[in-house]
Amino acid sequence: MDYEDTPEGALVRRAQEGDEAAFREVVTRYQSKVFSIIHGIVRQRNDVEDIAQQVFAKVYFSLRNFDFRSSLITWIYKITVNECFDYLRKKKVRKLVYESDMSEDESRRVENSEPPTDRSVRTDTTLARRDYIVKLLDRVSDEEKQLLMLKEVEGYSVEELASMLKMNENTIKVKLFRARQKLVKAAQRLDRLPAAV
Amino acid sequence: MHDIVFREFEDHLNGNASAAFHDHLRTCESCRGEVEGITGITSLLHELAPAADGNDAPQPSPAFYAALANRIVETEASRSWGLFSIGDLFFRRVAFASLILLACLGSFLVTREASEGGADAASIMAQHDAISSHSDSADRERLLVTLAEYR
Repeated sequence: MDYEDTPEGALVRRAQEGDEAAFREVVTRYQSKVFSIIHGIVRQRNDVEDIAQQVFAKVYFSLRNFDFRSSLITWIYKITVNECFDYLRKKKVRKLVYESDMSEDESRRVENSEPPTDRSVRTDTTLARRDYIVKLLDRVSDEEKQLLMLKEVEGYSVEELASMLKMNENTIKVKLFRARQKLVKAAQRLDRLPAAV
Repeated sequence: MHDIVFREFEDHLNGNASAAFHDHLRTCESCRGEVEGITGITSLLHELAPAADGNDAPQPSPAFYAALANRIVETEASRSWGLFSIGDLFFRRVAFASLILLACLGSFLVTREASEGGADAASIMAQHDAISSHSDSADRERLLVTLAEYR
């Protein structure tokens, strides 16, 4: 059975035709999942809802272009991941601007602040690792990012991915392998930069 | 990298790689290095996974859909007004058109001056001499008339 002929396919079709109740049902069905994906990537509780709103607004405005080649959640997943990476990029720019606005005294105060406790060191290490992998993922294509996230973060198998994305299993394996190789190369390049992590 | 690694890497991550795969890694240093590198990076990806118990992630508030609907309405409104509003693109276009206009005007003035003639140094000097000699004789006559009237 084609995805378009499933009950969810019919729901999407109604939402595409402007049925507000159908769109609401789509949001209700996937909002928890979207919140969880966003939190997994950005880890900023305060910003999760805002990013989720942005995701569903994009879903609303692009739903007409959804072509049923993948399942709705796969499509929403891709939008969510892209939105998270956009958010992290903007946040990085804001942080750089903020730091450049600091006076010399403020910078010195931050440098001379209390040494971190064990717990905060552990948190910092985890955050640094997460920052690092986010930087690496930012250097691969959207499709590769989506594949890697679906496989390694969401835990889908190659068979499931093949069925979700309507691709051959071997194609998925090859694409995944290439994506992983790109990550390694990106890591090598990043490690060569001073103070990269 | 050898084919067997390429073919069986995903199975290796799931712990299902064949004995031939492991035998190959034991003997091929280059493949072993690459597999270690890729496995290390792959394990970092797990950092992005949501917490296993699911309690870690915030849950959507009951007002989430209302806030979303608001945002959609606002975006739609700004999009429809966007057709008539003056944005960055408009200013960039105006600035670009002004620059082109200035360049055209400048080149027109330069070519017009050159085409009207008298631009070379010799002709300018000749004109200047003619004007100055004419004005000397006129001054002399005017001075004689003044002296005659004075007497």
